[in-house]
Parts: sequence; C-alpha cells; structure tokens
Amino acid sequence: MSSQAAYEKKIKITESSSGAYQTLLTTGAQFSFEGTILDDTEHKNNAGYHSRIYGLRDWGISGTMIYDGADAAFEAVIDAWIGKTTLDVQYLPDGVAGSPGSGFEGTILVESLNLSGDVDGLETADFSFVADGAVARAS
Amino acid sequence: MTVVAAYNVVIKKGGTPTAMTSESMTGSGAGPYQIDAAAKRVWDRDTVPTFYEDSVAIATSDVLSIDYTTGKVTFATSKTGSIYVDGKYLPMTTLAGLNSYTVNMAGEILDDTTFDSAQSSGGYHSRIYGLRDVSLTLGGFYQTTSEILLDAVDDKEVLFVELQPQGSGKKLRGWFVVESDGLGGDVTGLETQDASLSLDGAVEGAFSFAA
Repeated sequence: MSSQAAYEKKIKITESSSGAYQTLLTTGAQFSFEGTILDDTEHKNNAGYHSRIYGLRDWGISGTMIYDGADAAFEAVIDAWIGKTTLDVQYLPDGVAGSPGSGFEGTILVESLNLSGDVDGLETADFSFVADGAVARAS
Repeated sequence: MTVVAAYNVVIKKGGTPTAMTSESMTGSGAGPYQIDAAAKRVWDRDTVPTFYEDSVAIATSDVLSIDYTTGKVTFATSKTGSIYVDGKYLPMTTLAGLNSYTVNMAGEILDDTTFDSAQSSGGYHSRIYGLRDVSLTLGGFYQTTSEILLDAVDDKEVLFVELQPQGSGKKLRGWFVVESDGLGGDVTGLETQDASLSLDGAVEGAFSFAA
C-alpha cells in the first residue's frame, strides 16, 4: 500500500481534445463518483438479500483555486461558463496522467464559479464541474 | 503566475450616461472593434450607438452585435476605413467603504440523457447549459456620503457594477438589481452595510470578463 500526499495533486483542463492541458491553481479539490443504483430484488431469485444493478452513473469535480485573472487555465474556466462550452478535465491525485500515474479524465460543464475576497485575504474561486458523458482513466 | 492580495480589488459602479461623439475605435475587417478611450468602454444600454466608417454612418442592419460592457461592435460586413462611434458611456466611480465581496456565477445544467447517449457513453449522464445567472454580495462599512446601494433599492434602479479582482487586468462587468441592502451596528462598533445584487441579463452581452 502506498499513500499519496495531496500536495502532488493536479487538476488540469483543456478547451479541446487536441489542445495542451493546463493546470489550475487549486488549493483543494474533490472528485466524486456516484450514480443510480437500481434495486432488482424479486421473489423468484433472492437469497434473503437485496440485489442491485447499476443504472446511470455520474461524476464531478469541485474545489477551490487561487484567483489569477492572467492565468490561462482560469481564463479557460470562466470562458467556458460565459461561452457555454465544455472542457476536458483531468483529476490527477499524484500529478501524473497515464502509466505509472493514476487519475481520471472526461468532459465537463462549468456548473458554478464563485469568486470572493476579503480585505485581509487572498482572492479565491470555488468551482463546480459536472460531467457530460463518461469518465476514463487519465492517459 | 500573478497572485495578489484581495485588498487590491477595485469595485466600481456606472454613473450618469454621458454623451460621446466621434470616438475612434480599433479593430479590423468585420470586427470586433473596440473604442480606444478606456474610460468610455462601458456604454449606456438604453442608447443605441451610431457607428461611422470614415464619416459615413453605418446602417444598423450592418451591425451584427454590440457589447455594451466592453465598448465593442461587430459588423456583418468587413470594413476598410476608420471606425468611429457616437453614443453614451457610463463614467465609473469606486464604490466606497467595501471590504468583502463574493461573485456567484452559476445557472441551470440541463440533463439531456437519452437511450442513445447513455449507450454511447457506457451509461453516463449527458448535459447541456441552460440559463445562467450571476449574483454579487458586497460588504463593508456604511458611508454617510454615499448611499448608492440604498438609493438603488429605493428608486428601483439597475446599477452597472464593475469588479476588478486584482486591481488591474480583466474586469467582471454587468448590470445588476439590488435585491437587498442592510445596515447594522452595535453601540460599541461601526455601522456596517451588506448588499446582495442579482444580474439583469436583459440585453445581449449583459455580463463579461474582459479587459
């Protein structure tokens, strides 16, 4: 078993499947897998327990990043929200895509982007990405 | 990477629409062309600008789109002459007394999953954008010399707000209605003010993030 320090995590985005990925200035991020679980328990075939199958699945990414208006990755996120376009995203727990790295990738819509700043703090941006289609291992 | 402390943020509001005449614009072809004078880049959305190629007025049918928040125009046909604009701009003044803000950009995400799309994706949801929305919260100290937000609620005024998170560079701009503006303060403290605003997306290009 090998633990993974979270400081190595990278969240990368690109505006097109052929474009280069750029890393967001995240300070924290979460990746979620979920979906509909369908209970198909019936009288004929059960061993006294519920049985289930997968229905539609879903995934998403949320987190916080430091605001930098000149950062190309941040610009891509806000441009996608304003322009109602999708982004390809990679969630890389060890910062590396493909072998020997881990991580996931897919296409998302920018559900929300919240900017804030207090006079004695840093400008930050909370974001939420929702999936449009499948997730795959990052390559 | 250019990260700056949040105290650098600049928040402004639009003032009284002011006439401008024969203002030069820069661009090429069909555009977009942007007004050169940076101080006149926010245009009054209740005044339709008139554009000129050299000294000849350009027909409104030749105007493809106008971005009132950044002073830009795109034409239906390419231009070769010098472009000028008559219209009204909003002079910007700093909203005083603020010390915190949030900008919430969100909206509807519409699930358009079908049998075909789910089978193609291996059983995942598919989605498209629906209506989007922007809301602001502004917090700070009540200023006796400036009751702009209170007046806006009282007069049912739609405010133009510009927010520049780093004090330079790109700005978030849009027209907002003031949903609420509250004052408060204990006997031992300062009088504070908290306001919440929502986007009025009534015109094309109602919200932008640009220089």
